[in-house]
Amino acid sequence: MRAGVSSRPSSGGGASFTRWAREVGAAWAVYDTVASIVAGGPIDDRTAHAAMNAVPATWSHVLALEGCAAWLDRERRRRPELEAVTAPAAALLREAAVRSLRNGVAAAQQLGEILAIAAELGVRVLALKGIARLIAGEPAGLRTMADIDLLVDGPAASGLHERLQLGLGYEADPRGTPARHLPSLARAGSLPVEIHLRVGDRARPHGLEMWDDARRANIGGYEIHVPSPTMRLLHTIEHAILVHRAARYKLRDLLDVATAAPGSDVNAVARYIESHRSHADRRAIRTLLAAASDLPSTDGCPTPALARPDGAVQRRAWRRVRRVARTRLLAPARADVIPESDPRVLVLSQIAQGSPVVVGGLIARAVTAPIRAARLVTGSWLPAEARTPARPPADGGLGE
Amino acid sequence: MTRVTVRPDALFAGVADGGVVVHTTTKRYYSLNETGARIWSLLESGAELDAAAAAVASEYGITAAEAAEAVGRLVSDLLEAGLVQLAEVRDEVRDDGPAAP
Repeated sequence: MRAGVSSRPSSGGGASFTRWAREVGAAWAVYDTVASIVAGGPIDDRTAHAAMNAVPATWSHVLALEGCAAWLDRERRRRPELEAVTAPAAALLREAAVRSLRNGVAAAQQLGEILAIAAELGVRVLALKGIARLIAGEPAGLRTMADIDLLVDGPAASGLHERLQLGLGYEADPRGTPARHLPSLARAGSLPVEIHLRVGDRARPHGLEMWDDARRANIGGYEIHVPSPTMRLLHTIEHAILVHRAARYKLRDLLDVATAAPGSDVNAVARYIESHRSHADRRAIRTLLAAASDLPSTDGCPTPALARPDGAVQRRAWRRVRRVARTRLLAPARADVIPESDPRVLVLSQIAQGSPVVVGGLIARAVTAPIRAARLVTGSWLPAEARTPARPPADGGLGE
Repeated sequence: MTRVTVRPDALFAGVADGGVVVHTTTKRYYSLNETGARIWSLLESGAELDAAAAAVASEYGITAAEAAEAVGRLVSDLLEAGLVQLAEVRDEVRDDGPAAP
C-alpha cells in the first residue's frame, strides 16, 4: 500500500488526523532519504522502505520545498543503488533535470541578446546566481534556474530595463517587486529577467561588494562580468539566509553553498558573518556553512572556505537543518497551493528556526490580526502569489 | 545484439530544431540536429541499433543502408564524446536449438 498525499474526502476527525499523520510520515521519510543522499550518509531500511512507498505527489511536495530535484536526478543516474529508493520520483526528477538544461540553454541565448543591447548603451552588467554559475562553469541540468538575474552598474539600470521592453519584447511585471530589483521582465517562451540595482537590502562591508574582483567573460561576442568565487559564495549565503529568511536551510541552499565554496576566501567569509548585527542571522549563516561543509555528494569538492567545523558542530547544524525542514512538512501538500509560498509552510519554518525575535513577531501578528491568523492556520487564507499556476514545477519554480 | 546506453553523466533535452546534450563531468555541451535528437531518443528508450535505424528509415523516408550509416556515425561521435557506451545484449527469447557438440 502506498502512503502519501491523498485527495479522498475525510470521513471524520479521526480519519483526517490519521490521514494527516500518514502524509507527514511519508513526507518525512522522503525528506530524510533525500537529506541522507545529499549528506552522503546511509539511509536506514525503514526510511528507505517508506520513501519507496510514498506516492509521487509526496516526493513532488518535498522536492518543491527543498529545490534539489535536478541535482537528485544526476545522483540517481550515477548511483545505481539509489534507483529503487527514488523510483516513485523518477519521472519528476528527470523532468526537473531536462527543464533545468533547457532553461540553461535558453538563458545563454537570451543573455546574448541582452548583452548586445547593454553594449549599445555602454552599460556594465554582472551575472548573478544561476546564470553566474553557468558562466563560471557549472553545467546546466543540475540546478533549477527560474530566471536570469543581472546586476547593472549605477543609474543605467532603468535605461537597460526600458530598452529590453522596447527592443526585445519583454513586458514588466511589477507584482511583488522588492526594492533591490526593477520589475521582473517577462516574455513568452523566455525566462524572466531581473535587473538588480543591488544584491541585498543591507549594505555590504567595505571590500565585499559584488563588483570586487569580478572577472570578465564573453557571451556571443559581448562582455559580461562574473563575480569572484568569494562574492558568489557570499551572495549564495545572503540569498539563502536573508532573502529567503522565512524558509531557510533548503537542501538546494546547502548544495549551492558547497559548490560555490571552492576558491573562496575564508577571511572574507568570516568578516562577512561578523558584519551582521543580528545574532540569529550569524547563527543561521554558521549553521548553513557547517551543514554544507564537506558534502561528499558535490563531486567531492573540497570546501576550504567553510573552515571545516568539527564533527559535533556539523552534527548540530544538520539536526537544525532537519528540524526546520521536517517542521515545515507538517503543513500537508495542497493541490491549489505552491508549497514554497504556502503561508503555513513559511510560518512553521520560522517557528522551527527558533529565533525569539521572529517568533515574537509572529505572535504579535496573531494577536493584532487574529482572524487572519486563524484562517492561515486552517488554510483558508491564501495570498495570490501562493496559488498554484496551471502546472506547478516540481523543483522549486519560485524565482530566486 | 548491440545496445547503446546513455552514460550517467549525459543529460539530453529536446529544444527547437533538435536537442542539446550536456556531459555533467566534462561540462561540455553538444547540439544535435532533429535527426540526431530523434536517434538519441530512440537509443535512450532502449532501442537496439538495428531497431533505431529501421525507425529512422521509416520516419525520414531514407533507405535502410542510409539510416544505418547515419545511426552508426552518430553513435561513433557520441562514443568519442563519452556520452554513450556499448552493451552487448543477450537475446533471451530466441531458441537456437541444442548447442553443437
